[in-house]
Amino acid sequence: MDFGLIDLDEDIRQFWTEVREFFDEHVTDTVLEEERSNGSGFCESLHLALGKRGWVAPRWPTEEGGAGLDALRARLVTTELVRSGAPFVLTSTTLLPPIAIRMFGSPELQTEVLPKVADGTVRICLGYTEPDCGSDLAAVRTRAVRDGPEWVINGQKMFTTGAQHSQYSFLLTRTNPAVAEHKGLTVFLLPLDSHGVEIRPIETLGGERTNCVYLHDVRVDDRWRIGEVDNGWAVVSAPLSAEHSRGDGDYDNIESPYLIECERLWRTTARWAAEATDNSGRPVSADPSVREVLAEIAVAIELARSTPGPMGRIVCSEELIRAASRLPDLVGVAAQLSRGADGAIAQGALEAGFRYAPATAIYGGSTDIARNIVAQHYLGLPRSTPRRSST
Amino acid sequence: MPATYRLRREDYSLSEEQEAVRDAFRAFFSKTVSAARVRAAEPVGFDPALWQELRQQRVVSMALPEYLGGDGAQLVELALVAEEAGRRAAPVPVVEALVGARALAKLAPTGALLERVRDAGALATVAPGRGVGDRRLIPAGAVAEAVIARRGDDVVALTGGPAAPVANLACAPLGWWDLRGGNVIGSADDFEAVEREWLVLTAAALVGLGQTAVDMGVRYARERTAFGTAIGAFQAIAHPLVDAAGAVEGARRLAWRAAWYADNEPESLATLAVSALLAAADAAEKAGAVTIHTQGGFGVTMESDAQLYYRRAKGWALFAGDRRTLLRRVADLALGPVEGIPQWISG
Repeated sequence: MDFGLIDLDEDIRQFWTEVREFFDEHVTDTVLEEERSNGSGFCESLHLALGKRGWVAPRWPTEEGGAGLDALRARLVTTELVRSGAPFVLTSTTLLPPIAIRMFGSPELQTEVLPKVADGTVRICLGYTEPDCGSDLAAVRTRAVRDGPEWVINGQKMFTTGAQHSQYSFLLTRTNPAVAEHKGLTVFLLPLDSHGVEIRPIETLGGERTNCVYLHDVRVDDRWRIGEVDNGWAVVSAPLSAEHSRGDGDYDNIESPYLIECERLWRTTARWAAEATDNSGRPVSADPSVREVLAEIAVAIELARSTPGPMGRIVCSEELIRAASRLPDLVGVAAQLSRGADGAIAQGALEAGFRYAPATAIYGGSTDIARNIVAQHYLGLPRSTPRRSST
Repeated sequence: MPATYRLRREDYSLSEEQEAVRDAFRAFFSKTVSAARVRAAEPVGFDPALWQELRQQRVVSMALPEYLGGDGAQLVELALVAEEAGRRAAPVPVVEALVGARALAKLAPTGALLERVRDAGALATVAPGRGVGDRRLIPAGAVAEAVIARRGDDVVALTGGPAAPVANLACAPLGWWDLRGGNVIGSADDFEAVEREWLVLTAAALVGLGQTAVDMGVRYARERTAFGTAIGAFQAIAHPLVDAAGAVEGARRLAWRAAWYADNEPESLATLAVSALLAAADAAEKAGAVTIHTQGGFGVTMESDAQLYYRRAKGWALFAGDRRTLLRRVADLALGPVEGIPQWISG
């Protein structure tokens, strides 16, 4: 057990300074403002600059285009990326498919794609769920049918965040409708410039843009297949388990972004309370009822920070939702003013936070799915979702 | 180096020695403390024979510094012991005994009281919280011969106990003490350190209660069938158990983190000790409530062991005092006293 300060030698401090300067240079006010207005979760100039330094995949070896960083230096890159407030959603989803590409992809596919992922020129969105799927990925209907050396794909993918900035979609398709649902699936790395691919934007409550991707008779060469035909369940499972967990290493335990957002909202409100005064001229932060609410949330944040794995995933987003609801209550009517409005609190942070929070309990695998995982795999309870009946 | 160039480890793993301590006490408590023994010790909640057996495990001396003939254990190790005692709802005031002995070792190391505590099985307890008035309900006050308490700017050691037991929810050996008189042995600052240890160890004991309650609920949900299936297959049953298990696990690690800071960097402890107490209290109560509900009608019978844990979860948490006062302490630490600007952030 050790929570002590890590001894940072001159080299590390120098590196940290470099990383910080890098983000200061590339994450400009313009970049932040653009992200606020389009919510794309991605900034190409930043991403390419990261790629030049090998920092898109900082831990990959240099011969694969990464920076070959040790865990501590990689943690510093991620820490500063998050601290900078830069959009990072697509940067992080892009790194999930390579886990499966390394395990299941052909050597040619790996050679073609992985270096471009590392240098930032290739981004990959996740083509998992569909209008009738939700979290039940084994129910995908997007059909891939073999036609000589090619496959013909028809269907529709939902919530493909970052598709408009991606070169590929990591696409889960149904290749065999005759067998049990999770046995008839195949994964492709679909080039998004293929004929028949149409990307339509979906606007969300939190201001984040996501997409619906329509696939009309899209023809894709068999070389883009990842893993065996009908073995797609194993292929998607590898990066999914990476997405569902939070690390617990000495250096590479990155704080949940939901928790970071929760702390931001707490600090915003605490600062407001110290500066705002009530009718008698006393700071709002002197009001015991305000102090109690802030304290309850501070305790909840410390608890969430200590909660590991999928249980941590649940509690981090649910505490964010709770805090994003309770903190505006302390402020009153001005809490709902949007960025730019006369009298907005901290540039509308509480208004934006309230809209942002609910999605965090859904994407990346909903909290309900996380609870099923904990129930079955940590507590040893019987499986709660019905087994599929077809064979 | 600028303050922002700081990075902390986040290593919750136990050392081999720590695992050995945990395993030894887990084995001891599971062998010696059955639910029947917990029930037999009610309503007072003290089993003198068990206390003697536990002393033979060097539980008090391990907590004392080496120069006083102890093993110099750190709070992290003692938190593991407290959790194991909590897991069996052991009818011995382990937390109060350890904190009281350590307080004497620090503040009155040459007194006869410490000698009696170390060598003769006497119990010295502590008065946590910021109670009102001189007459206070003291945890373990009905079995301890001495109480260490804060009074004004002083820490005092009062003798003349134990007080008469009073019937209570947790069947804990609570007793009323008059905190006037006694010997001054330290200052208010000294008491901060004493109380911090009590908060952390009580949090750990509550985690132990919560863990057993969750385990009990999970076992029941696996074995009990209704509507043709094990009830744990219903999400309405499973998900609350998941939430309780998550709360207990988070509280355990929060208590460990608080213990580590108390041992190594008490100046950076910030809100952690009070937060650990509050989080562990919530988790243990939730675990008890969920398990009772999981067991349905059986859960509310006195035959179910769930009630043993549910009652103690609430009672032990209340030893720390009222929640609003605890929250205001968190606020003082997080916001600065009343009119300060926000300073809080752990790590």
